[in-house]
This record gives sequence, C-alpha cells and structure tokens, in this order.
Amino acid sequence: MSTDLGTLLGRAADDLVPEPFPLEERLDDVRRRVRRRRAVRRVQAGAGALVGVTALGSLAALLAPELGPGPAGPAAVCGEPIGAVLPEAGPVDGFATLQTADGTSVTVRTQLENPTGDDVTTTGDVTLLVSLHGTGHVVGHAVAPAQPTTVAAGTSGDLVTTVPLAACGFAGAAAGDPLPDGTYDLTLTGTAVTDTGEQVPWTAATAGIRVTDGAIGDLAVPDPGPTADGTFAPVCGAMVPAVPESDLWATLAAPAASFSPAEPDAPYDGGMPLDVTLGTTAPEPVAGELSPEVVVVLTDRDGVVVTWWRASEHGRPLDLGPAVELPAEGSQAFPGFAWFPVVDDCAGGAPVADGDYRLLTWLSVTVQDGEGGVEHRPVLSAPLDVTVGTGVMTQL
Amino acid sequence: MRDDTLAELVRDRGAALLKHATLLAGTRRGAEDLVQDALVKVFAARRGRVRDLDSLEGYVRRTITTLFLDSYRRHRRWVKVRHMLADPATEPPDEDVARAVDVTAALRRLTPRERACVVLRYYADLSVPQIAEELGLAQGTVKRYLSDAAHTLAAALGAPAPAPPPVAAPPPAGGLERTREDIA
Repeated sequence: MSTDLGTLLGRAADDLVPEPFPLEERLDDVRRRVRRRRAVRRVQAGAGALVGVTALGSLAALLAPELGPGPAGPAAVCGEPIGAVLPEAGPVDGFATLQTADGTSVTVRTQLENPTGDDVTTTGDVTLLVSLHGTGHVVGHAVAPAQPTTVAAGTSGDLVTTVPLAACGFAGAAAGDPLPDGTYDLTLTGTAVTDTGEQVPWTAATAGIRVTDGAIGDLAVPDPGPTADGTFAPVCGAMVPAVPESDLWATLAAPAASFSPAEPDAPYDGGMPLDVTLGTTAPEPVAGELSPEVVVVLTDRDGVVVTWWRASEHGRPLDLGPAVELPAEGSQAFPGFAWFPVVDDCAGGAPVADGDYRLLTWLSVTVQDGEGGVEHRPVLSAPLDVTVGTGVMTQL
Repeated sequence: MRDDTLAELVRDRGAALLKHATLLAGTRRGAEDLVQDALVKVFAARRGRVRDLDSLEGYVRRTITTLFLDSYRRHRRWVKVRHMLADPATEPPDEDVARAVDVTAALRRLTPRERACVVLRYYADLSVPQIAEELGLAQGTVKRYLSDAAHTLAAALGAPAPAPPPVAAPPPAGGLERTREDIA
C-alpha cells in the first residue's frame, strides 16, 4: 500500500500541477509582499535613536491618550523620522491591511506573528503613526483602545482597530486637519504581554495609503474595475467592481425567510447562508473546481457598495472548494456555499441600516484550459434583492 | 536572501512546492496561496542565510506544512460547516482529473495532522523520525497518524489494508502483530 499510495499521490500531484512553471505569475506579488515586510523591519532597526522597550511607556505618555483627531501630539514626535520614534524591534510583528476608511479614521486588521514559545496577549492602546511615503517623516499620529488579542505560541492572530487619522502639524498641514493629498505609510505599534509577564513591543505596517480629495485608498488594492486576473476588491461607497464577461453565470437564493446579524468571524452561526447556483451558456461541459474564496457584497439599489464579507479573511480553510461539473448549457447547485453576516463592516460592524438592498456574490472557478494549464474564471452572481428592517434581513 | 534566489527557487522548485501544497490543501488555488505565503515568510525573514536551493526548498516546504496546520488550529470553527460543502457525487469526464479528484477527496477525509503525515511520508518520502522532527511530534504519534490515515485512505480508495510504516529499528519478535500493538 505504501508504494501504491506513494504512486497515487505522485500521479495526483502531477495531474493537479501539470505545468512546469506554475508560480511565475505569483512572483511579482511575492516580491512586493517581501519588500513590504522587509521595509517594516528596516524601519524598526533604522538609524537614529531607538526608543527601548522600557521607554515605551514614555512614548505612550507623549502621545494623546484620548480618542479623536483633536490637537496634534508633541513636537518631539511630529516631523521626526519614523525610525526614531518606533520602539526597538521585538519578536512579535506583522503586517496590517486597511479594512475601511473615511476622511477621519481608518479601520485596520493587523496580523501579528508570534514566533516565540510563549503565548502573548496584546494589552493597552494601539498607536498609529502616519509618515510621508519616501521620506519617513511622521506627519500624523493617534492612539486608540483595542480589544486584547491572544496570539498562541508559533501562530498568528488578528487584531482589528479603528484609529483616528489627522495631521500633526508638519508638511504644510495644520494640526488636527485631515491629511493633505499624497501617499503615506501607516505603522501601528503596541504592547503585548507574554505568559511570564514580560512586556514586548509589536509593530505592523500597511502597504500604505493614498489620499485623494479627502478619500483614502489602500495602495495594495487596485482601483475597482474589471479584473482579468481574478482579484475582486470592493470599496465602501464605490460602485461594485465589474468582472469580465464569460459564459459562466451564478444566481443566489436564500434558504429561509429571515436572517439576523451574526459575528463575521463565526460563519453559519446565524447570519444569512446563501444557496449558489452556477451555470454555463457554453455548448460543451465545464469541469473544474470552485474556489473556497467567496466575496458577498451588499449594495444599494444603484450598485454602490454598502459592505462586503470575504471568506478568506474569516478563516475559511483551504480545502473546502467543491468540484464543478457543469453539463453543456447546464447548471449545478451549491447549497449554502456563500454566507453573509448581516452586519455593516464599513460602518464598523453596526447592524445594516433599514432599507432595500442587493446582495451579490463573487466566485472563482478554476478550469483546465485544454493545454495542460488552468484558468481562473471570476463570476459575479446576479443580484438578490433583499430588505432590512430593524436589523433583520429578508429576501424580497 | 537575494531577489534572484527567490526567482530561481520559484522557477526551479515551484512546481514541486506547489504539488506538495496541493496535496495538503486539496485545491489548486488554496495551494498557490499557501506557497505564496510560505515564500513571503521565508524570504522576508531576518535570519535567512540559506544559499543552496535544496535546503531552501526544504525550508519553504516545512513552512508550507506549518502554515497549513496553523490555518486549522486557528479556524477550527469551519469544521462544523464542512458538510454543507461536500462534493457532488458526479463522474468527472477526464481520467486524469478523476484520479486526482479521487485522491484529493480521499485526503480530505483525513485530519490535518494525518494528511500532513501522509504527504510527508508517501509523497515527500521522509522517514518517521524526520516527520516527527518536522512536525514537532513524538515518533509514536506519527506512526499512529500514519496507521489511522492509511486505513482511512484504503477504505476510500478501495485498496487492501496497509502495512504499518517502516520503523527505524528492526521489528521485535512476533513481527506484524507486535508492531500493530506498538502503534496502537
């Protein structure tokens, strides 16, 4: 059996990855993420005076402890190189992703990595430092409270924080004003406590933001629009992104009458499961896999994004993608494949406001292209009309 | 580590790494994400000093396995909804796709640890002590995972019951029966 199983696994692997150079398309993305991570580490270990771990309390005291953009922080921080004000690098670090932004605050999801042998728990406030992209001078900062998050030894964990965003009085912007148009780096820092009571600093950086006419965009996210490579990135308050036309289609149905709000990180524990039907107008069968990645978007009746939920951001395992076997001009049902938490993440997790909306689901189907390679085909479902009353969603 | 080392690794060892990840993850797209995350983790590390491709490939492969197991440790709540996403019982038209789907469907019946042990033992050809070291487990635990997994796969793939994995030391007197008791 061992020989047979080895042979079976080998053949299956060859069948699933038939091409000789399957990762070439991903190389640029890997390089970009590596450079981002190395940049955070260079900032942490940069030239100039570094604030030690024991001095982190002094740094926190320098910065405004209360919420709100308000008056700028102390002159000792504003205008200084970011490397001079960050704490000394510790074992816990990570990178952060912009979730939502309005003109005065940002919500950021930080993935912290804990390579140590002890569990660590974040404690206290999170400090946001905004620096000019390129020069690294601090032009804005704020402090906000955050829910403690425990990151087990050898694993990573997520921390979501909403932090005010305002200028601190450098580079032509008055203290407390919104950031002027430009490109900026965001660095978050805080403190974590190990099981043995040791305090360790943590630092995480985003890919950067650009400010345009008061609107804040994530530099890592492409502008909404048709995406041939399968990425799908809704933006709060923007039109829902389009996907290329194809012979694949999808529709949604709700399996019950009404649905109440649920925790976005606890899929199918309440909320709204969605039955997906995938079909093709092609005159020949379509075979492949349905990616476990799914994005459910809530828009208003004009197609403007209200909020969305992305499965991979809430821990969907990598092996839940079912097989796709579409007969010619046929369809296939996937009961409960998508899910929506019935909360407005763009509004910080508040219940969805009463009104009429549309739900759409973005899917990706991987098919063999007939030449030994694979092709990822994005599909945006037809909209499902829904209405919300006192937080409860029902299908129209 | 230099950027050209990354490009060289992706070109020369990318297929092998992706095959390993695909057997673990069960889907091509999920496997590509696993490999990409592992490459970022390894090449962004401050302490990266590995130069030769063989060692680098091994290091990335270990990171792939760790990330795969870590994703389950952190997100076990998805297990309860697995039944909602079972593959439909249809016959795929292509023989190669059918074979791959059979094997990956069988692998999905295993727990993450069992799957990792099977892939490392029967695909990556590691010994039990090597698997134990890579996953941070006792050798006896690895043997148990392999034994349980092999029985599950045999039932799923319609093969005869498997023999236990080879052990580092010669088997004790009594042969197969004693070895099975040892594993249990």
